[in-house]
Amino acid sequence: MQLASQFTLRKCRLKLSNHPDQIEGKKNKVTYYLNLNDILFFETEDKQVIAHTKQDAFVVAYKLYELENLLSSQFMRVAKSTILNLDQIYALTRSISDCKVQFHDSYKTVYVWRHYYRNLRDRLNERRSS
Amino acid sequence: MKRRNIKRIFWGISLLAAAIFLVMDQLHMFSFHLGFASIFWTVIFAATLIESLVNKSIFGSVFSVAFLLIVYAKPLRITRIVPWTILLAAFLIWIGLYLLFKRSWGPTIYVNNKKIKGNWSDLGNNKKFHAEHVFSESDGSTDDENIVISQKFSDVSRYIRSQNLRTVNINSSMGEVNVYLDAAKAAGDTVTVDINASMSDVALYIPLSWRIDDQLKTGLGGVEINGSSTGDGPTLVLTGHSNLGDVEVNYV
Repeated sequence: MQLASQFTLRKCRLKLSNHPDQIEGKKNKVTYYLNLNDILFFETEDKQVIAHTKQDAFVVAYKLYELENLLSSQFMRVAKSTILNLDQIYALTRSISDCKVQFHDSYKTVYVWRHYYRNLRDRLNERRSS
Repeated sequence: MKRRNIKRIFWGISLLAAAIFLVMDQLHMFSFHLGFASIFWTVIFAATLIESLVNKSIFGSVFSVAFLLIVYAKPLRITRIVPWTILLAAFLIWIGLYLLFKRSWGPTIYVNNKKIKGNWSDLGNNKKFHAEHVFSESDGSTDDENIVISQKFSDVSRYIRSQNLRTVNINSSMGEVNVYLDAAKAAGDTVTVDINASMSDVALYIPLSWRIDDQLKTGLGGVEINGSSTGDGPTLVLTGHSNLGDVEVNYV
């Protein structure tokens, strides 16, 4: 019960109850309000969740599974430790074991785990047709 | 740790197999009779052989094979040359292989900018050389001084945000490793990036202020540096060896 209430509390902090468009991110003790559209992907790093933008990275106070529930269908889990912003995908490079994702104007890359690849393609196709 | 589990399962299964073999053999359920001692030694030496092969240890592999041959001298009809001829031959083979391959076989491991001796299997095991954090496939970068990235047959991007970085060990075969050091800060004047790579491409992304000291040995591959340093930051020392793959350093 307590966990659930904590969870809803955090949800409120995200400004909108369903699908927020901003998220709090911390870097060097400064809190930034990041537009979700600017975020390339979220990744867990040593128990912290990091939101990566094109040139920067911020610590976010959510767990990955919480983010998975909070975020709209614009975001998708693509690996055990990664949630990807589908709008930011620029290039996909398929290889035997996985799939590399590149972004617009960014040197960052992220890998889609084999298991999620088909799902990702389906989601991207859906988005293009709708 | 994943690797620990594999090791445990491996030893567990071999001991179980040995027990079953032993009981069946004593009940004379096989057409040939091995005896208690030979089964016991088979399990021991087969296990040491596999472990030595994993560690690319020449000594262990050669002598495990030699002892297996001695145990199975009778069925192989080589009783005339056991044990001393085989042991002497194994010794000579070991010396020969050691002279030929000594340099290229061991991994180079740096901890706190100091080179230490290590085995290949240590690269998946943080306790052995006191690296505070060893990456497996599931976790990401961290805030420690010594960072180890171990990757086989798969690709990975690691974002290192350590504010106190000294060494990065990259151990990769047949894969692509991208290491982002742009959010990292060096603890001292140098950061050692030690690469043991074969058939893999390694890309490093570093801040503009860092300088590069390239001491990497390459075989059938090269080092490419994209961009240039503004020259007032710490020095990135590239060490280790890379075979059949490229190493790329990008300034961002």
